[in-house]
Amino acid sequence: MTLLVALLLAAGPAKLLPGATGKVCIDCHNDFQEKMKKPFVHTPVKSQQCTGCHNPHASQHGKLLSADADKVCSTCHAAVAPAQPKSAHKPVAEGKCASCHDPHSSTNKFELVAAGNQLCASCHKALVEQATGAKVAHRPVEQGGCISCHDSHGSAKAEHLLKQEEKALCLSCHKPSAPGFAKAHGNYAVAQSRCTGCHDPHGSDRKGMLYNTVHKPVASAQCTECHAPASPGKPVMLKAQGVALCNDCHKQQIATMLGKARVHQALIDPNACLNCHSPHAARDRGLLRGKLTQVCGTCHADTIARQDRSPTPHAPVRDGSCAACHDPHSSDNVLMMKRASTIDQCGTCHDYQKHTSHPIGEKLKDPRNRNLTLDCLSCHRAHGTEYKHMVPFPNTTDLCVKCHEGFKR
Amino acid sequence: MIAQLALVLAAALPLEPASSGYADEKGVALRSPEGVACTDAGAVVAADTGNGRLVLFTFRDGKLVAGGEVRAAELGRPTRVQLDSKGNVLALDGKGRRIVRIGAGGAFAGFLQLAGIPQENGFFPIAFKLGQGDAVYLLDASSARVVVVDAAGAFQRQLELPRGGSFTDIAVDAQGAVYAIDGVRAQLYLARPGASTFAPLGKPLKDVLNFPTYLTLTSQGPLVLVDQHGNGLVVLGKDGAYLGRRLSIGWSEGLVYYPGQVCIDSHGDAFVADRGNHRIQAFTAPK
Repeated sequence: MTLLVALLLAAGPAKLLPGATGKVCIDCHNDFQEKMKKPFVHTPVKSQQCTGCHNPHASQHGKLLSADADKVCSTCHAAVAPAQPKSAHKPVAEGKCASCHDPHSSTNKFELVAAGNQLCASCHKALVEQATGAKVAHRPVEQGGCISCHDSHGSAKAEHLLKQEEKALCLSCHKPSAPGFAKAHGNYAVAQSRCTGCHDPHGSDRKGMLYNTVHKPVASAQCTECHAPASPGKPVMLKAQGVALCNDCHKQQIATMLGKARVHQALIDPNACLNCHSPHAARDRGLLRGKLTQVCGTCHADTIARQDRSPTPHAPVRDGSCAACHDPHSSDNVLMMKRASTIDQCGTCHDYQKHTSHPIGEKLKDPRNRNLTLDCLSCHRAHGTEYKHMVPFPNTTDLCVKCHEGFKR
Repeated sequence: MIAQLALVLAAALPLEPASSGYADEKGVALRSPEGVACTDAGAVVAADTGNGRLVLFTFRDGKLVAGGEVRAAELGRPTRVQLDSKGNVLALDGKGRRIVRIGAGGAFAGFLQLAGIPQENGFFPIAFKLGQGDAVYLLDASSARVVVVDAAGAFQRQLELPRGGSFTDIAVDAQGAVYAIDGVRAQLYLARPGASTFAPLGKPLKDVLNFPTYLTLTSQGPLVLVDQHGNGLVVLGKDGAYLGRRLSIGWSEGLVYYPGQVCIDSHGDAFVADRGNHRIQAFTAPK
């Protein structure tokens, strides 16, 4: 019997007798009568070649497929995704074609499991809701949906599945030579820049589809607050470099920041404020270049990654609220903490120290180190560890006996 | 052969915990010390950053012996310290952003009076090292450069750092080669003697380094990086190749918690400003 199955598996696609098409299959799988009535039917189903994808006798793969579920489609459709993509859609890269396509039939073109943007929204809900609900909508999104700009399988040319590099894609519709283009951009040569630095291609509630948070000079078209007038060879020259550029308007804030004992290096390097903030417009408040975990993670990737490995998530890190504990600009405290005392810092959210905590406080020496007193970080690491409860040891005993040595076994 | 050489170099870094300094001679505890400097004769100077002072130690017979403190109104927040050839302490005041000189006797001996430095994008020193003739090499974060001044502070030359980096420290060898470490990318750079620009040295070391913040050269050959957020020391060959990691996170002696600066003398004894543990730790070479 085993030998028979092995022979059947080794035989490859089943060779049916002449005339014995998938009709034989449908005699039993009679739900296919309905499926085949749908307007869009997968070619092998339509031609009743069930053996195009299934082995009628036995298979090492689920649903009697003739190959792994993540590979069977590529036996015919290998060319749908670029061979060397700059970006690939995750379901395509993982061979999960059935996430978007019904392998048998559908009421939607290309046997898609849902129509148009509705399909994309099954994973990218927030983005599609924003695009369809925006007061100022992007016309291609309205008219052609996501695939106006994105290739749903993968792109050989650009990131984010874009059909072309971002600038080229935008300029394919928005001609810099068009009347009004230069005027709208203060006569600066913005065609050299990345449009999505200011504009939300998915639509926004702001005129000109600017991101919802707009820098005041941009909102009032006062480009010369920061830029020198455009001139040949220096189309978008800044009036000053580094922190000096922002200092004209944000003098008091910057003086306070620089007056602290520890200044975030990002604030003082040549890019200064622009390391974290967008000068024009941004999706996030404070003109931040992204969520804080993303912005902070640009430099502190290892610290952010620790949380990903931690079985116990720390809410501020998980939620990207780095500024709940750290001052991102400057601080008088180590690690740019907002509070000098760890207990005070943790106490802004946790009040264990007021009732049921292990004894902690300035009066309690850490037995491991006479210069340390007991606080939350005596046992926990705020960004998590590979162990539960953010402790640096695999189990509670290992942790406790570091101080309570008499209980060591 | 290469593997053997690597082992020899890595073994050159001291490993054995010898002694720790927790307080000055009067018992006043250290608070978040970020800097430490040392001499072959056993003088150890701690930048007791949290207390705004320097504390002197002597390293004798494997023990750190506490000495007195040095306070100066002009040095409110010492972060990094170096000893010059005359025994003066040069300390970077992290808040005043200037170099303060403390005489061998422990008295304030003036600021390093910088003169003739091109303005560029401002000047914000975050680290410094001493070179031949006590020339001072300053890492200027705001203009992404290394400024070289003579012992009196007169501008000599500057070296442009690669754009887009986040440089946390520099080191200078006896021939005048300057090393720089990009803390974010964990990439070492080298400017050969006389060069005015840097080139990458070896590959980025992000897989073995978390966030390097201090770089020093040892007389035995290897470079040593303080991996502050990774809580350890990382040893590199002079070609930038990774040779090994030393120390790990903890609170007991022999372990470190967010270390600041390391000083390694020519005997191979190492002194670590163990900031998070509020102490200076001494390590000796394994016997």
